[in-house]
Amino acid sequence: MGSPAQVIEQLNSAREIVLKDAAIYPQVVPGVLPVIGESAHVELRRWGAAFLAETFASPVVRAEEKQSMALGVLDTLRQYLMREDKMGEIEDTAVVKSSVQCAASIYPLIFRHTIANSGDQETWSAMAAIKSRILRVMDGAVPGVRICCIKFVARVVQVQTPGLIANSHRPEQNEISLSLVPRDHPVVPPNNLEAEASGLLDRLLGVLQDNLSDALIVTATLNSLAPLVQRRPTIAQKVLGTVLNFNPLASAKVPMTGKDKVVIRSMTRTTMSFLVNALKRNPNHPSALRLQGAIEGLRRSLIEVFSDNAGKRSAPDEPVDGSDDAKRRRIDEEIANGTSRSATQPSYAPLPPGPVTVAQLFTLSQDTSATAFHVELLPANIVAQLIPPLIKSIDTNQLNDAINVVRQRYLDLSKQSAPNATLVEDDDDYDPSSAFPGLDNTPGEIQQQELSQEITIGPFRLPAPLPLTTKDRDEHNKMALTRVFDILTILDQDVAMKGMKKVEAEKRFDRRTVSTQSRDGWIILLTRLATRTPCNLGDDDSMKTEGALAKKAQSFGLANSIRMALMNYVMEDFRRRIDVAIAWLSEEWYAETLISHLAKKASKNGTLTNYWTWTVRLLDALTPYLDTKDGRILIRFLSEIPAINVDVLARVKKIALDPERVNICSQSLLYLIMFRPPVRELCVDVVEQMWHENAEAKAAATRILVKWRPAVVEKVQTQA
Amino acid sequence: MSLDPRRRHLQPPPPPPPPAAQPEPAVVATTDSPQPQPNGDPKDQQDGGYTLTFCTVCASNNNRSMEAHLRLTNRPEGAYPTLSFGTGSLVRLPGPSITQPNVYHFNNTSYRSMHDELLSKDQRLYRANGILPMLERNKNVKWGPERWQDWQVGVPRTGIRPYLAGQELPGQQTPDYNLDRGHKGTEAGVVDVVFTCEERCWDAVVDDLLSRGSPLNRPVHVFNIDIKDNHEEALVGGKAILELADALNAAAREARDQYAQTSGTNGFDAGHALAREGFDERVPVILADWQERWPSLPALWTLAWF
Repeated sequence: MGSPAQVIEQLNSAREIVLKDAAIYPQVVPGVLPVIGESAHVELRRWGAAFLAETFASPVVRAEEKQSMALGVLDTLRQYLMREDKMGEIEDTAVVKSSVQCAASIYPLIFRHTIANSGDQETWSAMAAIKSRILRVMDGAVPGVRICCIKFVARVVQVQTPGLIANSHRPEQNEISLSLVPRDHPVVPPNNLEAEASGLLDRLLGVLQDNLSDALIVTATLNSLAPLVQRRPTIAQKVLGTVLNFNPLASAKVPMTGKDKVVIRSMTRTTMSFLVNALKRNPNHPSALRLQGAIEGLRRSLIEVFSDNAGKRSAPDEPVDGSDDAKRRRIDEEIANGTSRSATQPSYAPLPPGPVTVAQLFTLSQDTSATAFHVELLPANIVAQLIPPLIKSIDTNQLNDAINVVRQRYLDLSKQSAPNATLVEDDDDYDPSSAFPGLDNTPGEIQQQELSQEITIGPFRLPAPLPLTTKDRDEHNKMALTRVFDILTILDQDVAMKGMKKVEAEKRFDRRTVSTQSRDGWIILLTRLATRTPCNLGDDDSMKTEGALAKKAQSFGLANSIRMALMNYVMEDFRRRIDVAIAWLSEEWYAETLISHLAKKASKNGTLTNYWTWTVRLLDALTPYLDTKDGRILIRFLSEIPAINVDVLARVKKIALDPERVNICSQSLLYLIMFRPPVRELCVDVVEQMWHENAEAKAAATRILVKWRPAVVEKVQTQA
Repeated sequence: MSLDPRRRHLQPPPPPPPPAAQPEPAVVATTDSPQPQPNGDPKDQQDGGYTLTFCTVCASNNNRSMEAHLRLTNRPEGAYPTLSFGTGSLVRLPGPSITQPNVYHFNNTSYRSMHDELLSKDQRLYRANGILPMLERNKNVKWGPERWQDWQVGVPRTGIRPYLAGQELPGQQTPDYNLDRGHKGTEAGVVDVVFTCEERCWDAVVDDLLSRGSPLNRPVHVFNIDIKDNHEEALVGGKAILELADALNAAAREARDQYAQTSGTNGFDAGHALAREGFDERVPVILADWQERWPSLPALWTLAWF
């Protein structure tokens, strides 16, 4: 055999082969063992131990192959670990480290071998010798070796504690655990093994219970305990409880050196990771709330300890669930600074991570039956009885503390979210802003830019409204009219209050312009709107087209509703508003005369349909209300309207049917006869008819006829 | 080199300048040169002594972990055996806007294919924001981004990546582990030290290791070094990680050499004070010393198990 370096080169090429093809391990491992034995050079032993550790850890080597190979390497491992006893020379740390790692991987294999081969006492005792050697040197070993021993012990505990049996028919598929051992196994009696495991677990947990400040040992222990919590339900609670009681910040001193900072931060974050992992794997764990509380507590304590004003603030509050206060540790006086009352006050569980309800925010009790109770169930009278003694019994300090806790929770919530990132599996860690040094606009800025660009593009156009239906149009017409006449009513009231000023306003030169202050303006607008819309001034031909006709019909709709409204307006107070009626009817007459003039239909009164209709309608509406003193109104109306015909006079004649109103009727007719010559003959005819038909009016008619048609009266007298 | 926008802001050098900064080898500049053969590269040969094996982890296995991967494998003294991973669910690279990232799958997307895709999409944009130079660097370091959670620890890493074996990858490099930088020494698929580049990644790694149940019984030091996810900070962080790796490696080597020097008096019960100073227990001290030199990169550490 050549120099160690040459041998290692050969060994390395052998390793290269097995790394490429795991099936060759069973041939290579036995071949390598003689080269790396206890008598070999330290470099070869290092290589050998590392190779064995690698081989038995490899996930590509089948478990059965590992198990059969394991029997062969036990001796070599024992030689490495017990070199001091045999050779009087302490073994190299690297060799020991690898050996212990390898032993941890082999232990379950030998265990299963022994279960299956109950006659093979030897193998098990070789393994047991290795185990006891490791356990003996563990506490005094250099830390690098000690952590591997800790992992070995954790593995032993895992093996010697009952696990889950997934498939009782195929034991080779099950995880290696105490559950595989028959109760009466001669070599590995399960009861003894479980007792041993329990003792070893206590030894492991001792690291945490003693609050060691050696971060290497502590984190190695925590990380090796995780499989026990996950896979060994019988001891999981014990492990979790110990970790929950472990305070990685206990060794925090003031002032902290750089190493202290790194160590404390690392231990605390590792503990948090351990708890988060336990919680995540089993969110419905009975102590899930406690886990959450502990995680939050550690998070807060870490911030407090590392914030600049550490020592000024109170001790980090620890969750209490009332079970094992005896084991609870206090935070060092240096941190607490002995100032706060919080050491004695009951502390409250922090809020669970993630979104919380308002109820959770205010709930301080951990008693689930109390939190689930709905106070509204109590009748009001009982509540009234309860409250006074309750208020008396409340301790002011306690109340203040409780308020402060809720306040603190609220403040925490409002600045929260960032610390919770680790709890939630959030791998959306894309942060493009940091990778765009030139483009680091905040989204807000970009939106603003886009917005201003949109604005500068051009004027904003509203979409065209839907075309109005006839019904809609009528509605709007009605509404507009109502509003206009409302204005008129208001203006009338004003005029009534101001009395004579009305006259002055009427004398103004611009009285025909529409202003909100002028009733006449509005009247003119309305009357012309009603009368002039149908006349298509200067556009005769379009009158005949269908479109124009349709338009006309629409206009008539509006015009007639205005007329109707005007008539109602006049009739509401006809004595005052008779001028409106006259103005309106004059407009009607003028408009229709204009149309017929333009249409060159010269026939004089033939086409005044609107005028006659509305004159007669108005008169019909008016006559019932005229009383004996309204002669002047009637005379004014009849004398000022632009045209009078037989229909109109027939209405006047009817008034005389009422004996009391014969007088106003005869006076009106007389006025017309005297001052309106174009209708004089018509009026005299009417008076004559009255004289014949109406006995009551005979006297009045006689007086007129005597002057204007004496022949009638004389003829009767002569006949008589 | 001067065109690389990732190095634009590198003057003046960032706070605490480590002594004797190595001149940057022009890795990024050799973009289109043939893939260097790490195993044949003389630089890659170990200088004979023992070295720790390292692993760098960030979110997308693109910027911070890859810069550190490059640093660890680009030393003049020889490459450290190095792996690198990402802990995110997907590889996310900045896109044309904040809401349109370019998203790729871990493990089966190569840096080269990402590079070629982005080159065809918008060369100007991705060159200006440093993504193309980054991918050019990455594709010369290893084949593609790998996800931590999918890593089967202890499964040998030799030859073609098993999950890509038999796949047609036209126009791409062979997904051979042996071509990765720092491959030598990582054939067994385990590492001694993990560096994460963000506390969230550290949480993910530690949590993942706790959940795996530590079947290998092998200790691993998991460090976090908080590095902001941009090109400039990644360069600074890569330098800091290399420095920590050097310090750790020196301590490990020292501990190993002690046995020979003290002719076997260290070990279980040696009374020699110096002899009792093994590698593992020195880690917190080394980290604290390092932290004093790099106060802007808050560090965290735990001893976990594979």
